[in-house]
Formats: sequence, C-alpha cells, structure tokens
Amino acid sequence: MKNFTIHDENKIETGFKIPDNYFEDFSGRLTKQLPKKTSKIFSLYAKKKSWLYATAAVLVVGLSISFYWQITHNQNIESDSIEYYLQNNTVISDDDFATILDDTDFNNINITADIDNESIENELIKDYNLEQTILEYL
Amino acid sequence: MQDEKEFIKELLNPKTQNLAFQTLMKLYQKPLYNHIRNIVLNHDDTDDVLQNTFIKIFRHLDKFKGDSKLFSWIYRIATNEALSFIKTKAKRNSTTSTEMQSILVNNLQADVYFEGNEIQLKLQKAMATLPEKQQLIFKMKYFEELKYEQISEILGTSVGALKASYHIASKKIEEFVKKELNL
Repeated sequence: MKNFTIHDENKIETGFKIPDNYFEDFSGRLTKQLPKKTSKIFSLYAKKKSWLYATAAVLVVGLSISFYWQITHNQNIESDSIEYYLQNNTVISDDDFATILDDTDFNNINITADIDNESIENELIKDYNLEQTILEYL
Repeated sequence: MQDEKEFIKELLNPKTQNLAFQTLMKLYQKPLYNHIRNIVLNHDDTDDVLQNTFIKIFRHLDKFKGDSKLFSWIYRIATNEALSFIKTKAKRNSTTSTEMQSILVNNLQADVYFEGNEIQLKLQKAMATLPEKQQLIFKMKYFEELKYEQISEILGTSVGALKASYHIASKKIEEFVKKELNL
C-alpha cells in the first residue's frame, strides 16, 4: 500500500449496490409516468354551434373581468418578494438561462454596481471551479 | 445499435415512438443509472433523477436537432438533471453544492446500498474535494470508462483539456488518500 495509486492492476470499484430486479421493474414504472403525446379528437355538435358561441362569449367577458380585477389588485407585490420566490421555488439552472438568453440579452444587461478590480480578484480566488475554467481556456 | 438516423426517425414518428422509446430505455437505463449514481451517490435519489431524465428525453424528443449524437444529447440531459438535483438539495439545506457533496459522501456510511470498503469510501471523499467538473471528468473516465472523445461530446470540453483535468484529478485523489491512510 506504500505506493498507493488508483491506476494499479486492482481497479477500485464504486462500492454501490443496486436493489434486486431494479432494472426489470424500472421501465414498467417509467412507462406509466410518461406523458401521453396523442389525444383523442372528437367533433363538437354542429347544430349547437350558436349556443357554443354564446357560452364562449360569456366566458371571455367573465374571465376578462376577473383577470382585470386580479391585475389591478396585485400590482403591489414587491419585486424583492418575486425575486425571493423565484430563487427558492424554481429549479432553473444556469444552463436553462444560457439556453433562453442570447448575446443581445447579455449586451442589454446593465451592470450598475461599482466593482473594483480587487473585489473581482478576491471573488475569483474564492471560485471553486476557477482552476477548471482556466484549464479549458489554455 | 441500428442506424442512428433510422432510430431517431422511429423515435420521432408517433406510430413507432413508443416501441422505439422502450428500446432506448433498455439501452440507456444501466449506463445512465451509473452516471447519475456517481453524481448523486444515493440510490433513491438516483432513481428519481433517472426517471426525470427519461421523462425529459421523451418530452423533448422533437427538439433533438441531430447536430450531436443521440448518446451525447441523452448524457447531457442526465448530467444537467443530476447537477440541478444537487443544487436544489443544497439550496433546501441552505448550503453550497460543494458542501452538499461532502454531506452526501458522509451519508454513504449509513447507506444500505453502499457496501464499499475503507479505500472505496476514501476515494469517494477524495472526489468530493475536487471542483465539480473535475469530479465529473474523473468519474466518467475512471468508473464509467467512457472514451475522452465521448466525454468531450457530452461536456463540450476539448480532449486535451479533459486529459489534463483527469491527470490533475488523479494526482489530487492519490495525495488525499495517501494522507488519509498516513502513507
């Protein structure tokens, strides 16, 4: 053991154990959870179209009123609260942001904070992945 | 596997989709399980992330552009799901992803689905001290035995940088284990 190396003849395994029949059961369990992509198409009664139009019109007016009421009564939510909620209740990863935003979006971001070089340097030193980032750019 | 283009067509065609997806699951469930388990460490968490990965693959099949290989696209989804899982778990525990990795490794000792010996446990501890990407590269190369070219396609890092990272990671791990074992 004196010259410990991970690349000697006896490769070290992970030590992980998998429950018996896990893979046999997995596909069955998963198939039940898959979203259905196709939906049944059915035709509406042609004769009752006028009733449908009338019902739809009533619904549109009703919903518009309730939406208008909600919008006008919920404008006082502070942006901090929204930001806090989004930070703690969503699982949007950096990759998701990178997919959504393009170069124009990044250019439009205005950084107003007054950050000096020393602060940037200190922050970079604390970055756990800095070594890897540098390696990739070499 | 059969011709990949043909297989992708079957996956995208609503008539053949379900059967093709079953084939895809059979092909990828074991390697993806190992890949995810190496990141999240615990079996139950791996099971959740693996299910989410396949559901995401199924939902986004029509967005697969074919400009990368199906293999690397699937692995990218699995990797992102596993890393996001760790981040979310860390956030819930008010800690960082790095700290979370150490917590997960410490939990291994009480895990019924971990039967590693002292060296295996030390190896897990050593890996948890590495930067996130170095960990990924080391695990994909050492445990999953993926080729550098495959890892490069998945992580979008050049083969040269991967080799350098793997070498550095191996050295750090050896130093850590030696120190732990007082060698």
